Amino acid sequence: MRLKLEKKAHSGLRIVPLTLMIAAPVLLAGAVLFEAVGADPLAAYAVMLQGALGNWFNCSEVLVKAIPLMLTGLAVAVAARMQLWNIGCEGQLVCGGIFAAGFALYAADALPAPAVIPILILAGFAGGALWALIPALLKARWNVNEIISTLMFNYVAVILMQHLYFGPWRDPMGRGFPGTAMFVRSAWLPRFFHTRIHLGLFIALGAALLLYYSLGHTTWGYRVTVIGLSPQAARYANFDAGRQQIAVLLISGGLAGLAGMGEVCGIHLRLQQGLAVGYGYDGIIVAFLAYLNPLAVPLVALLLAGLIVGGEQLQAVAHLPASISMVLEGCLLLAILAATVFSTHRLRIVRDDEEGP
Amino acid sequence: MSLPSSAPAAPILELDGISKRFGPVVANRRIQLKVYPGEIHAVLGENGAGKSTLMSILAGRYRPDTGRILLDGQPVSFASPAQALARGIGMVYQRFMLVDALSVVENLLLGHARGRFRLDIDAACRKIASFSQAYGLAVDPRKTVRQLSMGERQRVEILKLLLRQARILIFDEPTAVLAPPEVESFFRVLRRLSRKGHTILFITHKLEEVLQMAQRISIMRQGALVATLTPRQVSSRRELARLMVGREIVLNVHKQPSNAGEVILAAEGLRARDDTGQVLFEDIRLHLKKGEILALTGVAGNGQSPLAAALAGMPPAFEGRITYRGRPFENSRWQRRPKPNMVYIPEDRHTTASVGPLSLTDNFLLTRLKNFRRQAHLARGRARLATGDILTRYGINAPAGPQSLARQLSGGNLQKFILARELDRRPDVIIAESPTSGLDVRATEEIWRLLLQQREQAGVLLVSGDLREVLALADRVAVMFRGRILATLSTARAEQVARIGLLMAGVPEKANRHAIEA
Repeated sequence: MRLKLEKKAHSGLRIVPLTLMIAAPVLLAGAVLFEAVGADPLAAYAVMLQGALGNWFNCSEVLVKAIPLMLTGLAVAVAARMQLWNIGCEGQLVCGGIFAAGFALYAADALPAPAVIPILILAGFAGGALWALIPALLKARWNVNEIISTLMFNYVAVILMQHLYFGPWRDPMGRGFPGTAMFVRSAWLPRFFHTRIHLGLFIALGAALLLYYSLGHTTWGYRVTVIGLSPQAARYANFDAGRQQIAVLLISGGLAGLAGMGEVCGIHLRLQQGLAVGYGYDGIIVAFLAYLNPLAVPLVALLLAGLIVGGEQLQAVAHLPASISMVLEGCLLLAILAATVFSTHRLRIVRDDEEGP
Repeated sequence: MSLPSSAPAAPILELDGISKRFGPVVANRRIQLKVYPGEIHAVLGENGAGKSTLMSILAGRYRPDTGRILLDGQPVSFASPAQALARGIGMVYQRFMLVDALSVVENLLLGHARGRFRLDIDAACRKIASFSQAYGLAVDPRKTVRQLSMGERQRVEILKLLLRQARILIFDEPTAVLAPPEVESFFRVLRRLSRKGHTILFITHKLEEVLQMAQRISIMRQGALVATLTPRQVSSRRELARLMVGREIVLNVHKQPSNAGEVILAAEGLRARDDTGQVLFEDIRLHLKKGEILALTGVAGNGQSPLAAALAGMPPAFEGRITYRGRPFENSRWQRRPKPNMVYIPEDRHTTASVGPLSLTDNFLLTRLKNFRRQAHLARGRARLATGDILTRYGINAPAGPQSLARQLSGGNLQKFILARELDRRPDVIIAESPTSGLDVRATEEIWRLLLQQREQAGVLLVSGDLREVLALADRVAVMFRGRILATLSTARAEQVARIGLLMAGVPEKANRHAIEA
């Protein structure tokens, strides 16, 4: 006897069993974990919920955390539409932050105030895109595996950034604090509603809409889709796959760069430690939970941001490790992947003498 | 070597009424075959004649729909290749089943060292060495498979079967991947195996090999076994070729005599190599006139397919010159040039000519993108209407109209859709590769009719190894063998038609040396 995964004749699950299938194992795993560290699971969940959604300020913090997740999620999703796996969002985010910081520190003074923000946005995008350029060229020209090359570039970017804020860009007035001086006022992204919600939110939402339109309703998006689904068909139709690979990876890197720009110019207001905290890797989870749909990315980013903010509250209020939220995040990903499989397949027990197809 | 016909041995293996269908395609039809111990038995036939299916049934990979297999006179039934191997029947497939990254000895131990925790590599190597010695299968057991030549890999496959005590060894096109000296040493191994009492079955379409190696020859055609002979009973290669290809021509479509006009596409001195430097085709000279169907035929793998792709402006890159409507082109300019009036129907309709998970509308756009856009915006609504229109006009059966996914369509309907998409552009050159392979009779006829209609305003290059199709449609036939066009013949003249089969088998003939331009 053995278990066998079979394709179902009709794919799809109803929304209620699907939600149950995803939520139940995640909540259960969390409950076991809370029990293990000696906490009451119900109380712990209440703390998390309260922490994420309890009041307007907490809600706004969820939105703030969601901004970089949206952008890196979109970055991973657009590349994955073409079967390119951009694992380098972390490095591209850092590089976007470096570019934005460079402009804010050394050029913002000399420019008229209204021009600064648009230039910062461009700089952030350009920084991220530039960091993706070498892996993109390697991929298009010699088919070098982009998973490895983009990943390797992450480490380089982080060390480059450290070099800058420990070395040449370090704030001389900073009393040894690792970071640059605070940017001039004109280089701060506008904030809204008396919270830390900054312009990045609207950039991210705009990017989601733009990507939704361009992937679904333009000749470019059509080409990208065909190249991703069948390189042979793309060659048959005379689409230039190499050029599109470069274009898509640059756009992907640019979006991640915007996330870095947002963090640097919207939250930290200087380049400092704490920029590379994993938003690039979280973007992979966001993109896949959103099934690579650009309109679903902001929603999934909010969900994940809620988990992260709630987890921080666990530490602050209940003195439990914040990393529990990371465990829950992992469980969520696994549960959703499993649900994806079961929407098209079912498990069956077969006897050994039965013939496989 | 004693011939089994003179030795009154009982058959070691007997196939009794074996039939196998794949959907509407009958791969094997009531096969009767006896195989005697120790003989070298060739199974000869064209591509698609059902040889591989029959051998895969013997090796336990498929189950027959009807009929019995008798091993040593006892009926047997195999649910898996492992069960067949346990009874002494093993098969060496055309694509070797080896793990490239593992060494020879590790490959040989795979699935064989069950139940033991510790692997005694040294003992295994000694055992392999003794087998190698006994059968003349020289191979270093410590080498990684990736480092081995194709001939050495084949020896590893044979060792794999011998180590598991296979008595009957089946080879699928064993010489297809071998260089000529490797073929010689492979034949020596076969003879030695036969002398040691192993029974050999090998699939091939190469006449010389059959006459050189086989003690008995079974010929298959269109799923049926048409004859079993000894080489002595074969008077000539010509006869063998005729048995293999068949003479019967089914004319299901009515073809008017062609009314050929000016030359629209021509090739001069075309040659191309693959990545490893092997010649794909060379010395190609051909011309296609408006108003005719020119068939490019040959046994699969003789260069027709890459030639068709190159003519259509796809890889491989070629040397030489293509002339289209009187203008000459070299490779790079030809590949880059948009060809709105030239269409290419590749053989692979599922992943090259269409994208399975996309809708028919999106598949329609694959080659029609330029007609359905406003700047960057995709006019999908208009494309959907146009798709619906061709579905109706060409009678294509799609479950959800233009919204149906390409993979939901049957093979025949998908091929009709692809043809409709391309022919609707009113092309002047059509290059169609195996346009009816795998299709049932009705779909085949409809495709044939569509292609014949096109002859009015276009030149059609039909690439097909199916002689039935070639004779039903083509006005002229260019026969390819080992990358060269051996002759171009007229289908209107019976004495020329009779030579096609022989030329496909690469039989050199004085009269054929002078290519006849019909």
